[in-house]
Amino acid sequence: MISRKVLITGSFAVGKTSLFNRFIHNTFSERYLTTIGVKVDKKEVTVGGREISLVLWDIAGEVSQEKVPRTYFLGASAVIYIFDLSRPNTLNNMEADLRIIQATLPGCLVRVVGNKKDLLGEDELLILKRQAPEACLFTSAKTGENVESLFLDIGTELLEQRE
Amino acid sequence: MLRTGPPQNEQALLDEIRDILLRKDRDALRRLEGILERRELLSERVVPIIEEQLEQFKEHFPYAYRQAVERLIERKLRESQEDLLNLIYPILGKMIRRYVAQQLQALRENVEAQLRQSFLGRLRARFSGLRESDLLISQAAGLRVEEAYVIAQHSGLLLGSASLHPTIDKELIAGMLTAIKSFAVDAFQRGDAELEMVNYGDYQILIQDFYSFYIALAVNGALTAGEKEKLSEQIFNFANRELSRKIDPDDPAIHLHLQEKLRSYFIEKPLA
Repeated sequence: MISRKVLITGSFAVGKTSLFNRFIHNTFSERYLTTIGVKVDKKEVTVGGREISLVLWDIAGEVSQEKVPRTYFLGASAVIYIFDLSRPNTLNNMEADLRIIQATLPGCLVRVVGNKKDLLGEDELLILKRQAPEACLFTSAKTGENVESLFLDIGTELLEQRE
Repeated sequence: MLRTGPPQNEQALLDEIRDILLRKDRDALRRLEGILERRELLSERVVPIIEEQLEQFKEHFPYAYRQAVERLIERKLRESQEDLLNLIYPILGKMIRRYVAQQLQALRENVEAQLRQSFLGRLRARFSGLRESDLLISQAAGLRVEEAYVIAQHSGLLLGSASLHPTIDKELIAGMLTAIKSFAVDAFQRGDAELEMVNYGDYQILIQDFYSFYIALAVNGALTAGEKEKLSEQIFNFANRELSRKIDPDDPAIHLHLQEKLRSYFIEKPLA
């Protein structure tokens, strides 16, 4: 089975770890996030009969912060950039963060995700949909909505890239 | 004036004139044909010329083609930089290690010689019946490599592993170990220094870096400097033989091959 490194990053308290936990079975304690600033786990995804192992790195802190070791980003095939739909200011750094990601990982697959969908009404979601980047996916780590499909899409794209 | 003879006579006359005029040339041509058709005669003439040209070529080649060759080598080196580094790393590392080991050996011999002459050394030897170095070796009994990993340098993806006992998911161990390694490098910023050892109770994780991958061995028991050196030598031998060519991390056969080799090099082999 092929394996790929996938990073989960974004602003503070946007629900990165909740999304991560929703998708995987936790192997390591969350203390690692506060000690070395990262927690690694994995999920095997099956797409059209083909399997891929996504090794997920949940990174604490923000991309543009100096304290996040740049080496954590190296070798990643995909990045999930998360912002909080209920706090639009978490989108403020997105452009700069994505530029850093593209410069560190040229050609890497980047998925922008608006999390905490469950906290907003339909009208608010419609407005935000217009403001968010085109390929942005809205998820809810609380209800699990779109979480599985997010990782399935990433798995599919990474398998296609290989072919 | 009108021609009188028949055309045949004219032709014969022309042939005769041609024979007279071309006789010398035809003889020369026949001689040349003889030379060309007989190999030994031809080589007699041609070989000295070729040899002379080859000599000249050898003499002028560095000047005439130097730039082209340099460009070609430079391009090749650039294109296969990773392969080359993977190939050179274990060899260079081995040479440096050998040098350091020789120096350490000389130092140890010196210390041992002084120790033998000292009161403490003689006392220890009398009561234990063993030399100082043998005492150390006896303490090392029970040392064992329990887990061995080959991990991609930056992504932390597992390329191969073998272990004595069942453990948690090895891909996760590879990922977290890489994260800890990255953390140490970024946090303490000691130039090119890398994390080489992690201690956990009587468990030691020995880490050896190469260009595009690193090897981690989990050893049960306290390693002395000599044993660590020996194990490092073993790691370099392993890398040199099994990992010096470009490897495709997606190839399942590579994982199986490395698993088998890690087992035979480290897990099944006692540390002696």
